[in-house]
Amino acid sequence: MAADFGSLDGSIRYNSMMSPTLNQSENNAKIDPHMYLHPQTLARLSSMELRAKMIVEGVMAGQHRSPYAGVSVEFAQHRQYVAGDDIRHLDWKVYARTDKLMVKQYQQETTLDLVILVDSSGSMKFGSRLFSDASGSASETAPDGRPNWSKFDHATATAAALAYITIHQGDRVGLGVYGEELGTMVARSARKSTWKQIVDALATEPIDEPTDIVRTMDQILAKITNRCLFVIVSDFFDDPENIRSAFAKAKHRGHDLIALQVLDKAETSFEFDDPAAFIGMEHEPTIRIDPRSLKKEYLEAIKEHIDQVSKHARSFGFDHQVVSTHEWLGPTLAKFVARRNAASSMRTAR
Amino acid sequence: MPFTLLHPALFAFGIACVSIPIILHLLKRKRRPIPWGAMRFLEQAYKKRRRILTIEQLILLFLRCILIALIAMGVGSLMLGSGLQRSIPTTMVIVIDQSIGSALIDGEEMSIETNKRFALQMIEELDQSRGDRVMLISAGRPAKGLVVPETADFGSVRSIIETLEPVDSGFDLNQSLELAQQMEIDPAQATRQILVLAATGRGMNSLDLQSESRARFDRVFAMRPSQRTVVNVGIESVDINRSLVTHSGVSLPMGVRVNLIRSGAETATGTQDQSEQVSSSIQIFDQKNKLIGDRRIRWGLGQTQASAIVAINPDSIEPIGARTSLLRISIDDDANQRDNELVVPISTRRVIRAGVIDQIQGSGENNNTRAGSIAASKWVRAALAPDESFGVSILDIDASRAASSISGDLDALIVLSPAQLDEAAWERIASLHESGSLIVFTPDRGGGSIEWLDQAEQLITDASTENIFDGSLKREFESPVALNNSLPDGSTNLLGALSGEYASLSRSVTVTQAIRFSGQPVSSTSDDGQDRSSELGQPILSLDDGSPLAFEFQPRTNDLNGGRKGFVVVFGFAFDLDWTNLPARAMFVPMMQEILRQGVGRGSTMPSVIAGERVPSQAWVVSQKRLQLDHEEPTLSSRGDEMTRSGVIAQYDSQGATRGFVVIHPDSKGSTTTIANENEINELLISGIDVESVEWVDQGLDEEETSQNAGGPTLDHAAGGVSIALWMLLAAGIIAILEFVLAKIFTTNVFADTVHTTSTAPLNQVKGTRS
Repeated sequence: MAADFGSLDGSIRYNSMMSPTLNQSENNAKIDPHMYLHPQTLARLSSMELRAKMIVEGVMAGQHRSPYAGVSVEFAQHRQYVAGDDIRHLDWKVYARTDKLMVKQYQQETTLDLVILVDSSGSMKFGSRLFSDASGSASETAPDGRPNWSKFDHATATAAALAYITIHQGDRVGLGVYGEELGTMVARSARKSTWKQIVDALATEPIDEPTDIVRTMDQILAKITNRCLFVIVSDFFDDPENIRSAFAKAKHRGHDLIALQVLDKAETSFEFDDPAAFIGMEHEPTIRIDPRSLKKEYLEAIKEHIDQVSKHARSFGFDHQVVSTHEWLGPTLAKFVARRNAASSMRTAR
Repeated sequence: MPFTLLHPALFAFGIACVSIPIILHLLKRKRRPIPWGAMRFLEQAYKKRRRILTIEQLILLFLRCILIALIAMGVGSLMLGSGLQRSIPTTMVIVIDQSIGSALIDGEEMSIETNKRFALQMIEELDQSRGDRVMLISAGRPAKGLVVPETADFGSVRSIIETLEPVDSGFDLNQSLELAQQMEIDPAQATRQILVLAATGRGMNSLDLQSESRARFDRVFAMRPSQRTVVNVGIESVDINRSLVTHSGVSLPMGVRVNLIRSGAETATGTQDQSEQVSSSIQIFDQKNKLIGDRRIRWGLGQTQASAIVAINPDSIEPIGARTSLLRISIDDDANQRDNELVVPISTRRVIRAGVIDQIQGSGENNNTRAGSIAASKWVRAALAPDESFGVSILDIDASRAASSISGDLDALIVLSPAQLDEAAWERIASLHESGSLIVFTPDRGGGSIEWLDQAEQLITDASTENIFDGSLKREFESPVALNNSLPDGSTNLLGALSGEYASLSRSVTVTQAIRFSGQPVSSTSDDGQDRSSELGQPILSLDDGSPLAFEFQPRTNDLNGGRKGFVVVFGFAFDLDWTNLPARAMFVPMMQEILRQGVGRGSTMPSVIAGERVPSQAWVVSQKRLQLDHEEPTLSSRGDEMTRSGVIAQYDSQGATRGFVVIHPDSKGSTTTIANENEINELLISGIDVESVEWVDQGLDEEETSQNAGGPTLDHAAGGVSIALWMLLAAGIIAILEFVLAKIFTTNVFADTVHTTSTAPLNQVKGTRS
């Protein structure tokens, strides 16, 4: 089932054939995925490709690299013809130019399953940006009436964009929303309707629990048998050791992982002038302070945490990027995709 | 300024201001809370700095509270200088000099006017609405609380002040300060106690404060003492050698000694002041204002005391009544008129009535006289009233019937047979003696018991410890003993007038028997050095061996006012030739005459006191009246105020009869014009008042000069108040700057970098990220 994801101008038209499960919810019918994708993001999505860094086995043939040279759909390099090579792979254009018989070598591309894990813990509710400023539809409030653009909203937009790109490339994408444990899931699928399912699932997800990424990783890994690319969209406000442990589990099972750490600008700048009471969003105790007196220590603490998350990710060969709720997704996705393509090319060249 | 409990309203305001930072701190806690996602990092940072944060916040809160308090106190102190002092109720005690010194004309006006003007000026400083009170004390002795305790009715106090006139008594600062401490102070309310001394200060350097405890005042205001030299002469005292004048053919000469005191002249050094008063004229007038004697005194340079005797012809004195006459002694008018005149009473008699009690010859058990001898009464009659020209009337009284014969109008009673008297007679004698009559005792000429001495002793003293004649016994000499050729010393010796001729008069007198009085001769000075002559009497005659032969006593009355009864003279011998040849000698007549006249005159002499002293008053005194020469005065309502003015007070008994007089002299020492400087007055006052120093207020002599010169400190002057306020505000400014700086330091945003989250920045440009 094809769904028109929209033209370059960012408009989206939905296929009338929607997932039966989604039709059961009245709210789902009202949620406009466009709300989470800024026009700027939408404008870039169609040109983006998501390449997996490592070669994985897939169901559908796609444009992914394969560690197996031989029958590949993408030319990799030339080599001298030797007796016995398949003459179907001779590059006649080269022969015409050089009178030398050269054989093409190809990279085998396989199907990439993308599993997006989105953190729905209480801390993801925080946001200091106006919803109307960040929303693609210039909506004043979120579906639940919030006027602010939370980190979860940004995670939803990020997930929507990644899902869009993946489906556009013919790959499968699935969703898992987690807090203390794995919650709502959208099965991996390459169908166009999966994208809206993902957005609907995220838009209606309650956000209030503490987070347990280790348990979540255990749960998701139990459900997945083939190697996938995990994209964890979270603020990663958890014990760094837990995060490292989750990464290790994914690495042990041979999966690839991209950690997108979504942070609000207020959390990274801590620009408060007046004393106030800070209330924890995951049931932490309230602290009444003059924020100016703690700014230095706070920023050091959060920076250290970010550095630790990044360090843990890279130690397993994963990618880590900090994503700000105050910035639109396009540059983030483009930078990421470009980096992944470059890294992928270097690894598979022979 | 004491920082005792300040005005309650200001104190509450100050407390409220100090709580502002605390209230603000509490209000801040009510601000809209911020839901925060990155709580774990905030907690981490908070735990790291919690202790330091607490200390910093406490420091800032403390500084803010101190800042508010300093601002409040600084503003409050400013108000102290101009208003807070005004907010504390003031109790003003005004001690106004109304003494004889205030009658001095110092410049153009009398000092009392200056004192009154100063007092009124100070009252103007008070504010009824603030709760101020005023107390008014007159410092003329005895000091009197004119308005005590303090009152808020300033109008009435002003009225009282305006009616004040000088009295004739001295300046009583001691009693004034005692009265001043009767302020009704509410210990729960802060008040200022201020003493205002409205006095010119003259003569204050000779005063001495003798309070047991120092009076407590917050401030003391006094008029700047006058430094103008003013000479004043006053009559200090008058002595009359004969206090009894008889209007008969025989008038003994009278001498009036006038003692003068001069002040202010000691500062003169041959200037014009000195030349102004080099002599003083003394004039004596009778009560009909007829000049009966005068004298002029010349003053030497720096001389402060002088006296002169003015001879008076007693015949020139006209009695106003049967028994009294007044002499008015006057000197020249000068700066203070009130001490220039003195009125002295003298006893006058047309006839001195003397009763002679004797046993009629031929009757009685103890009639042991020899037939043909002259009765003692006859000797007495012959000595006292040889004829009518002597002005003495003798009444012979039979000793056996003395009780019914003793008349109350007798001036003297000569008891020649005391052993024959019964109890009733002794009572009559005591009554007569009580009224001031002279009582003379001699032993019975027939001898007999001398137990009558006990009765005589009861006239003299009531003290049971006094045994004047105890152990006395009659003695017969082996051979006649001569009298001592000189009179015993004694200021009240009734025979003092005979001292010049006594030696010749007594040469031929001998005594063959006499009562030997027990113990040591009673002298004018007892063994312990105290002058006892006025208490127990003194000998007026003695033998050549020094033993006393006759005594004179003038016992005091029983009341506490120091009144005196009549003289008592006790002879140790009878007026009989068997005892002594005195009756037949030339000495007898003048002796009896002097004893009679001096004894009667001085016995009826009116007690004199200095104005302000307690006036002697006996029990029989029912009412008193000031005696004026030309008009009648109303009966005195009390025995207090009126005694501060000089003059003669007549005392009446229950029958309305005049029984006595009291002469009140002006306090000539109180009218001194000696200049006292500020230091001397300051030292005097701080010796009796708990205050640092006296604040002087200038007072001009007239209204124009007053308005030009009046100034100096007023009640609203708050020494140091403004400077304290400025220091507090300055300290508040420093605290404010310190608080600002510390607040900046405590909340400084040192870590200015944020975690880079822009997608345009490469990941490795995030701080700490390994590339």
